Amino acid sequence: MHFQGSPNMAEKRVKLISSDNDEFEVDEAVAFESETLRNMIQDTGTNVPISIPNVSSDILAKVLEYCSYHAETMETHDDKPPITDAQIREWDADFVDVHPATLYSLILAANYLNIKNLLDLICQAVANNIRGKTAVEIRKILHIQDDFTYEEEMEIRRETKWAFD
Amino acid sequence: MEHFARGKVKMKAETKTRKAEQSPWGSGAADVLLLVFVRLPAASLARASAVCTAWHNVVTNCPFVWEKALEEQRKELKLKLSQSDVKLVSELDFRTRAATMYQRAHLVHGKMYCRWWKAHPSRADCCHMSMNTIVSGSTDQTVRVWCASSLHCLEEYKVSKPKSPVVDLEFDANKIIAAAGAEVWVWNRNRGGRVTHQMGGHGCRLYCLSCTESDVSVGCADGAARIFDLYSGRCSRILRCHSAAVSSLCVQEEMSVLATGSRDGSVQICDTSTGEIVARLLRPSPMREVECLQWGRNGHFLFAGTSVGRLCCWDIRKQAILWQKEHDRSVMKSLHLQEYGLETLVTGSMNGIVRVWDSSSGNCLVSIRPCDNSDTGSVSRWSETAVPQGGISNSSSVMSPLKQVPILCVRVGSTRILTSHTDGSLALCQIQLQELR
Repeated sequence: MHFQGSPNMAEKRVKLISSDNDEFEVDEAVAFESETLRNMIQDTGTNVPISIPNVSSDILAKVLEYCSYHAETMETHDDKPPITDAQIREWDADFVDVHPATLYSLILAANYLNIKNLLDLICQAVANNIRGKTAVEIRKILHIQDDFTYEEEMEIRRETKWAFD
Repeated sequence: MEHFARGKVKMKAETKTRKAEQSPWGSGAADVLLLVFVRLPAASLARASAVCTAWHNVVTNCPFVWEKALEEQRKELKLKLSQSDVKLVSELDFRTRAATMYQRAHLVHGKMYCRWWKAHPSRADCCHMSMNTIVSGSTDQTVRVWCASSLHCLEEYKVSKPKSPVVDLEFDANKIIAAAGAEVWVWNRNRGGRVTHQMGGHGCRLYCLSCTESDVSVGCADGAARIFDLYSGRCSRILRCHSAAVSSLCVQEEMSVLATGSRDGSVQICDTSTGEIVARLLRPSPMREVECLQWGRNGHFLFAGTSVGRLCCWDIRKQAILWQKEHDRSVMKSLHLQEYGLETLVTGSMNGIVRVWDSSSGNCLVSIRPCDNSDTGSVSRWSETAVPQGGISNSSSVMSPLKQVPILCVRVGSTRILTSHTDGSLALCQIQLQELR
């Protein structure tokens, strides 16, 4: 990697501003996990705070938690053993174990910030969650209301019958 | 005026709080939903499309997700599919292919879990299933509706006329249509099981029945097929086509033709609007009595099972036999294929064997004995079920399954097979694919 973890060298810090005007300061390496932020930083440098108008503070905090963990896994330290893939998977599994509404916002944020791994992680988690479930179970899991009329319901039953039969 | 305005404001606030409780998934943006949907195998995608309007719209408006879903499904079923299974559906659209493949993989490569129960005290001539509902009809003059998961009897309909065994039936969410004795009975399932129609009047025995939205066709003992209008309850047409009883018939709705098979061994196709005979199909040499009949894809193919255990398929466009097969000489009482899985056909015979066939080549893919657990890998369990008051007693000691309970009717779903038997029992084989490594 291009940033060697040398403790003496002060790393560059980046300021990010969420939609509710909270300021976050992170290492450049953390911000670089996001393709969108990487492009912005390369354009404007790290002196100007970057505003992210469509991501709220709590979601941005979550995203940065992911980015900093994954930036950290890239670093190699002589004194600490490297983080194993199994550990990362476990951490990721814990990370996506949140309310479905949060997952939805995370997808939007990850999509906007262009963090491919995070996007994949969450979408796959949601897909795994609803895979093999019935429509009723899916509604329960994701807190969705059944908004079909009786006629629509009958029509959809006909068309998807094979998956339930 | 002021009062009215205030009321409106309050209402707005209420809807707002309700929206806040609701998850964003229900009204999700198409691009976000698609990111998730492209990761689902086809069966899960079909279920997802039944979740809510927004989800349904995304799935129907983006046909390409089915291509991804088919790929995902193929990955999931990878070890289960042989080369021929994949090849068979290459010319269909992705959704149909996914449905066909899903069914084929289960029926041919899955493990059976069979539950069977005494549904009627005597001969159960017909059965049907759709999603979680099973309906059976018997010579005890009743039609019973069962829950497929609990096997509890939910509804019972009685034919209140002597000597009227139920020989064939169809049902949907609102009604049950059954051929019993010399009459067609129609019950409304919603209004306490009231009889809405009782159609007959010609006095001869019925053998079989086939329905469309608006009418019912029945095969009669005098060799005629009669068509009744479901709304007026009157006989709208009589097709005199055979010299012996019409033992099976099947309507092809799009082409408005009716295929009839008879005890005299012939199969004919009639135009239901004009009443003319369109085709007399050439019968294979040892044809004997036609026992069961069903249309294949687009009305291009017709399948028939005979009393000597022969299954044949006609290509209607050429009016010629495409293939004919025979494994044993046992009477083939019933055959069934699903609209969504026209490539796979099942038959049930008097020797208690269910066979699964490839409908385009006529190859027999699997043969199963639903009530028998001595087969490798299958599990069979007798179920005690609740029967409504006045019904049969079920508390008698657990019956041990007979080796060869003759099958009278067979129905196939995408992951299960239902059979009804001469001893009044029904067997439901649930098929599961084992976890892949």
